[in-house]
Amino acid sequence: MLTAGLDIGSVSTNAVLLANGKLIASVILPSGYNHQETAERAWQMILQQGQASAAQLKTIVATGYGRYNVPFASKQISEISCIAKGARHWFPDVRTVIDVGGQDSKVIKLDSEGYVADFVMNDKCAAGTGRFIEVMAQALQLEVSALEQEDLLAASGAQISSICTVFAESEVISLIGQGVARPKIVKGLHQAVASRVGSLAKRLKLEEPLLVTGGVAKNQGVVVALAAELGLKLLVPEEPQLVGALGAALIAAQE
Amino acid sequence: MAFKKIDFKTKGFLKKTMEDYNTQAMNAHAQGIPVAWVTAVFPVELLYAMDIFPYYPENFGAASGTHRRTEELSLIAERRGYSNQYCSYAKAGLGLMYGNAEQAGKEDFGGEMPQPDLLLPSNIQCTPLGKWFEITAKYYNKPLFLMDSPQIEASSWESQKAYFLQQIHELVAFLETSTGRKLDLDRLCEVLNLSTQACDLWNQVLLFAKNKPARITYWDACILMGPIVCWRGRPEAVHYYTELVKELEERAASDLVAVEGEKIRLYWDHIPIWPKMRYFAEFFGNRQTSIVCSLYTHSWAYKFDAAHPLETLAESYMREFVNYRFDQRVEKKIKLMREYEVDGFIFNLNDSCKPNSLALIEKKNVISERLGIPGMLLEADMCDPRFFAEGPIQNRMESFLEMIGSKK
Ligand SMILES: Nc1ncnc2c1ncn2[C@@H]1O[C@H](COP(=O)(O)OP(=O)(O)OP(=O)(O)O)[C@@H](O)[C@H]1O
Ligand code: SF4
Ligand SMILES: [Mg+2]
Repeated sequence: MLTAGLDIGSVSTNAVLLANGKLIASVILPSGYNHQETAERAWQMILQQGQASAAQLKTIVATGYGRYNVPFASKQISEISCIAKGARHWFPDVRTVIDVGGQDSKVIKLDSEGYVADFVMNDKCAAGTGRFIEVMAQALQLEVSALEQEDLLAASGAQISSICTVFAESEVISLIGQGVARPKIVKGLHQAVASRVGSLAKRLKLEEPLLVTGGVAKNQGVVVALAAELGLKLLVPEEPQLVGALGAALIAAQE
Repeated sequence: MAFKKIDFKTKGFLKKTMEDYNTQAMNAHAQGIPVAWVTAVFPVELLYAMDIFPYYPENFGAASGTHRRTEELSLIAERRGYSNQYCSYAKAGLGLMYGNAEQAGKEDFGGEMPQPDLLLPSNIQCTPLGKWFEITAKYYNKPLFLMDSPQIEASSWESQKAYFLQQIHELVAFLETSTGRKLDLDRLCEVLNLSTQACDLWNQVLLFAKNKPARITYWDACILMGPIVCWRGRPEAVHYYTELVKELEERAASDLVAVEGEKIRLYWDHIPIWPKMRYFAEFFGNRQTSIVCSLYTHSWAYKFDAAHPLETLAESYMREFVNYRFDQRVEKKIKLMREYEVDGFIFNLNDSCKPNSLALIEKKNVISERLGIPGMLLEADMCDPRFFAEGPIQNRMESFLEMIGSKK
């Protein structure tokens, strides 16, 4: 049986195709401003990759902020439920998931049966999420994918105390002005994000195994800083950005 | 199954009851009746007994939210230096006051609120409201009397009561000298009895949410509560709630429910988000979810002992859930949640209303642990659209309902 899951996030659109629960195709695209078009494109791409036709699929679950912009989806499920499902598939014992995406960070607790027991999301401010990191990377003239290498070059991080994206940016600018080395600033940023996500996570009683997902989990700099902040061991799946879409496809398989 | 709100047959009666209140407020001066501004939790029975008209500016605050005027009014206050995190009821009221002053000659709030002759705040529910009254009193150069009721400890109830009773005596003297009217204790007893009757009826109304499925929801109650706030102590409240209880009994007899196919029942704290009432009612209704209780709507449950009129006022008004300490406030919420058999709860972390947002994260954790039910926090102002982001809020609420649904 073929099922598909699409996660239309605020930054990335991810789609997966499963054949009897096995991943046979996946794609990650920038969401852009036209979610409907991006969803359609991601859909065509996984069908092609998996050599399947739309007619073979009965259930397609959409998740993420843009989940209501997928006209061909048969069901919409929130990202919290999908991430929990996907995480559990790849790590059957997982008890906590921290997903750091583009505009939200989410911390999800699972009970022993894999049901969502509790969750928290970041408050209004986007500091401590992927967008924040993107803005900072831009100010530092770096690609987000280059941040983790830059982080490794510094022994300690610069102090960035502002918890607001706008103020943190001016803090970074003034650090640049003071001639602070770029790796030190990058490490400082990662620590600032970790501290913010960490204090959100501490609202729940954290239990291991603990998984980090979402695009930001691709940045080892943040993951290492977060592990230090929480004093816990963190696991990262091979493709952390796909967990939500995977969960959506698994829920589709259950329907 | 799309949610369809069933209108109350007594809707017109409610509308008229509330219109009468506003008309009387606006006509009071012309009839030689002094107007006293009061906070929601205040011994207004004294005022009705002395033919002083109690006006609740908080209602204006809420109405400014419903009519989507809070932002415009707040900006007037903010231009004068008030913080955008100050209570948005207060900011709306101050914005109206300053806005009228800015348009020379319109000192009477443009006919939207009656000007106060007296200002009677109490700090039982909060301090921001009292500050708003203080500023207004200075602006119009009118006398103000603050009823002070610090945080309550069960162990100090007796001394607290003595302290509050002392203030009631002072308040009576203050009212008598500033209005030249005498308090007649027999008249006060009549008012107290009417107030008790209205409270009793109001609580009968709320009980209809105990049914499974509920016959009314919190969203209904927020609208239906108008008369218990404004008219308690007067026959108007008793008349209206008598009719409403009758209608609800009919609803029960014909098995009419608020949310068809109710699957999930929730508790909500605290004030509703006024400009978005319909949005929330439909959001939950469409997801077979009823909000069945809240300390906010359950605040009016006075049982006065007319044999000791001043003592009973002191005892009743010196405490409100907001001036209880942390653990007692938690107990009050838990009690309601148990009685109404809820599956979870939603707390609104509302920067405008600090006394009710205090320690919400901790409250959520404690209650979840005690009752074994999940809770979620929402972040929105009760009136100001600048502090309401529908996308993230809806996302959280959907996740929350899915979580409860999957476990059921
Ligand atoms: N290769 C990479 N290296 C480092 N960071 C990355 C990489 N790719 C993406 N990111 C980070 O991940 C973020 C996007 O994460 P993700 O795709 O999980 O977000 P989303 O699901 O669209 O957002 P949300 O769930 O909040 O709506 C980007 O803002 C960026 O900071
Ligand atoms: S909303 Fe809160 S702060 Fe404002 S008047 Fe009411 S109780 Fe006071
Ligand atoms: Mg995401």
